Amino acid sequence: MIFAILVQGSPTGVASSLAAYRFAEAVLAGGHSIARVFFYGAGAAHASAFLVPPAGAADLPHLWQALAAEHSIELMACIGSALRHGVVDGREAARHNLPGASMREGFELAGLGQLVDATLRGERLISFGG
Amino acid sequence: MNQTTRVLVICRASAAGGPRAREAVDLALAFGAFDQQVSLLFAGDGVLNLMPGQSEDGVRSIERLLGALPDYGITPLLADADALAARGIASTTLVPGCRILDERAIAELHDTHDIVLMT
Amino acid sequence: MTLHILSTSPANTDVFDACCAALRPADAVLLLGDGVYAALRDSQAAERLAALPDAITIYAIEEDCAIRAIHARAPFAHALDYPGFVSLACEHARSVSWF
Repeated sequence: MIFAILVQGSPTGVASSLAAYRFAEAVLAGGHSIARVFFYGAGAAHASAFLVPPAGAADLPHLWQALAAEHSIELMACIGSALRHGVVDGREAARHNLPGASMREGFELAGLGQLVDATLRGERLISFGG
Repeated sequence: MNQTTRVLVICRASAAGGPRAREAVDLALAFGAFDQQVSLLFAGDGVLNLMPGQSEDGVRSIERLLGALPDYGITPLLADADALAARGIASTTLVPGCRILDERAIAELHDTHDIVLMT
Repeated sequence: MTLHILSTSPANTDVFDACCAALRPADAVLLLGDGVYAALRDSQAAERLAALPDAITIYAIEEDCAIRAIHARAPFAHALDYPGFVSLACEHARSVSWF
């Protein structure tokens, strides 16, 4: 089965964001595949390189980065949501005159069309709300 | 992307209170722009967005955003009858192009769509 | 057949009520995060879920129950791990996330 995963909750604020990661792990362990993971709304903060979770809490941006590298999964954050959460790549930093990029390696900024595409390629869409 | 997916987007938040209402409308517009069949349901506090005359916030007012939906084939706007009643909003006072659904019709709505998104 | 994923506490009544109202026979409910509080035995939310038709199956993520010290789970709530969650997602054509 091919899954598209939508993460709408913040990486440090809600239990559903940890659930999204644990779900993705189980999808892959079960021999299924992931069309794409899309981070939307407050979920876009997952793409930040500058996020420090509290001691003892799961470092979800790092965990996603490692999972994606190991399994060649696309991690895409909605560009509009990302800008509102202080997440910019080099191009957006230049466009908005910001001091530098803040996006974590392994993530990409994308329009909502990439969520539509992932949804149409996946056989199941599972969303995790904030 | 040649098959048509029936997408139900449910907006449960007011635009004045945070970004989630716009996120719902943006999802609806995105799927509509890619020629998918989209239904947009306003439930919970989401029905508050259907009250006309909400002022501009410097960007795009929710009312103007809703006005763009028919251009993407997203019409009528669906509204939860119980949510309207609980908030004392008369169905006659809503922005143009709304259809009011009762609890049973809303439960059936899920079955007639391939995917459901909520904000 | 819809898999309803409830990740917010039933104390958030607007969401809990809407989720319950949307349930149809043969749907399943998955409680995760604070949603597992709806499986707290003898709670009002649990009584509400217990009154649903038997055709609606209810699951609770086991580790979320354990984190919250919910040892007295309502009898209707089946404990579920993440591989089980993936199986449910495969079995149901569509899912809705309530939060």
